[in-house]
Amino acid sequence: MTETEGQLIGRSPPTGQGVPASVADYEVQQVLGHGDSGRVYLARPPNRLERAEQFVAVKQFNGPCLDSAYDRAVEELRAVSALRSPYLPRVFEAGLAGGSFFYSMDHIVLGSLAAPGRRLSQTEVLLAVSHAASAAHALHEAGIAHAAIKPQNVLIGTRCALLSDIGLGRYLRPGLTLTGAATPGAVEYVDPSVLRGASPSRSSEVWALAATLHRAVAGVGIYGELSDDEPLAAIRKMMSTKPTVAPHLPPDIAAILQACLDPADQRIFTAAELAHRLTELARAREGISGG
Amino acid sequence: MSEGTAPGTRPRVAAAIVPAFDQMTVTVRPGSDVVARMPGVLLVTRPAETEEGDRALRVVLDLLATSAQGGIRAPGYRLGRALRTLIEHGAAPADLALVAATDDGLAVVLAGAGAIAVSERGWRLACVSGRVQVREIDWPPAPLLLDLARPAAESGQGTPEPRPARPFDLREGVVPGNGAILASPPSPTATPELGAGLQPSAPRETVDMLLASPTPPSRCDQILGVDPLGGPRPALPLPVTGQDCAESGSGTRVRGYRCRDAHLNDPRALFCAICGIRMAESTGVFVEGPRPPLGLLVFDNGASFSLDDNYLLGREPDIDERVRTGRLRPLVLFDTSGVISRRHAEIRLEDWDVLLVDCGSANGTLVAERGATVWSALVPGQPVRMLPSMQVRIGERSFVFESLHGAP
Repeated sequence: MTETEGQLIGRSPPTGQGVPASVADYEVQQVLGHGDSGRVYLARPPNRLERAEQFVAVKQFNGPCLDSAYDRAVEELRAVSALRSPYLPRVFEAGLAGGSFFYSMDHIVLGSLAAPGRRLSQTEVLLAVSHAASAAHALHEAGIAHAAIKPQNVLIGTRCALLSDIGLGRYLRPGLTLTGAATPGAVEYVDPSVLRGASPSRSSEVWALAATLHRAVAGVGIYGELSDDEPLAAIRKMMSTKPTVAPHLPPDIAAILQACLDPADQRIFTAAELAHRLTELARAREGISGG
Repeated sequence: MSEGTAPGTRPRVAAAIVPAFDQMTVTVRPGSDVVARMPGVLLVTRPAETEEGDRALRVVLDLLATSAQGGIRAPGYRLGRALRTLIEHGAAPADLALVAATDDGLAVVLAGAGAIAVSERGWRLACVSGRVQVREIDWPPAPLLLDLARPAAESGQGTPEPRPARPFDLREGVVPGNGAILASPPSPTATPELGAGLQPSAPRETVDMLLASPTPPSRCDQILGVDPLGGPRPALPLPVTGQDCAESGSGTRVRGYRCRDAHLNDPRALFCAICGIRMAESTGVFVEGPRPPLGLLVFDNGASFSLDDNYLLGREPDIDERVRTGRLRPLVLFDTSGVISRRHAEIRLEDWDVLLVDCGSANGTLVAERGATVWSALVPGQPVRMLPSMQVRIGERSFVFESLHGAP
């Protein structure tokens, strides 16, 4: 992909490859990452927000935002916020800056499962995915599918991991199944049933959590390494082959992963069950009795 | 602090009023750092006094020379990123300030002690906690100084400023100097403004200030603590044993055959699109049911759109009444070549077929069948049935129709 092509079909990032000085009245400090069809910035919140936090994370989506899409995205963020889950970052406000949708949220300082601020032990990874699964379950119980579970969106907080960046692309860009090269490798976390057009569901999210856990503990994806340069080839490989659990993984982890990647009707049924099994596994490894 | 509109705000500037970078004058302040100017680029850096420092300087100068040789009118976009990578890998000097032309302003790279300032307006941009800064800014309204903060021992000495009235101008090359001033060339009748108002002791307390006058969002809504309008929703359904994949679709009903596992399929399909089993094992009963998605549009950058509804593709599909009323989904195509029409092409689902229609676009819609190397243009207004793996090109963008229901 060349730089001029933009990261989505929509249009290029707000200021090409540079970092904008601000998003609305949030003063941008640096780019934290390329998220689902946009960018995430570290920024100072404006005074009008009356937040004590020195810094917040601001996610800005590429492309223009229609009024109807804006309303749906705000409604979705409020529905997530109303859950008050400790495993979901707080979202402060949403808005339009330069015609593009943005929202501000807690800045989680220790990185993500994709790029943790320090090396995580296998047990810590198990717990992080367990927390993300708990967050996903809270969403599912409230009738919401996250639709963008991947290592980049499992943030490492000081007390627990948090599942961030709920997939708003489906509201801002209806029909969008997969974002583009803005999120390299994102395709490997999408349940093939969703690629075939099924709506994200409990079972597709259990699948995505397993793909996330696999990448974090095994260092490779469940389809090996898919090419970011050939998205069509990656999609075809996922549609035509079965995911494989890396043979070098410990049997207890491999067993849980396999139970999440089985056909949907044989899979671990809920994200809560997955969270429970991962926590039990982490406890067993640390020699802590269950309860 | 700044007043009025600072150069960090990014309204689109008409190309006509953007000064051409290479017509600007560059005045070098005497000193021992390094100043380099090449087409489209101005650099001030302080390489370490070691062989490694010399090597790092050569690496950066080579990078600038390469971009200059490429004849790129606006090298700023690429240079910013390339330079950041070099600095972060320790391959370029740790202290530098660079500005490079973009289409409508300047790309700025600052590292270590690097800073830029428009002293006339009291603006200064420097690195925050030593991090490399890559920014795009609008053309500054007054002379722009690039320099490197001096070590404390030297800070009191000051640097003699070249006399503004003298026509100093580094057109191209690498010279010693403590900073450089980029300014508009003096007009034949006006008083020269080179370096006007710039002081080497620009207020250090303004370091970290961003070149921006942030504007409040055009619309904003509180999220935290505000309940959604819709109230509680039912929980997502639990998976049902024996049902591998829930059907989803637009609600349009079509007739077809169900496979052994009850997935509804195109009557022409030989294999089930969901589970892949031969349709010879189907029930053989022609039934009606909700139409499943007919495939994906996979774009050249990997973005994929589910074919569960009709789409209007173009630069501004929102102008179409059918998009505004929700009958067509908008799919905005970004294009720098300017050849994509506002309403360019339509994707229409009819029964089990995916049809592509050019909406009378100015530059046409090209298609190529699987494996074909020859593109053919669609006749405007005439629907063409898309075959699996058919490629479509619209301006600079291209996508492939990835069929799930591989009808022959």
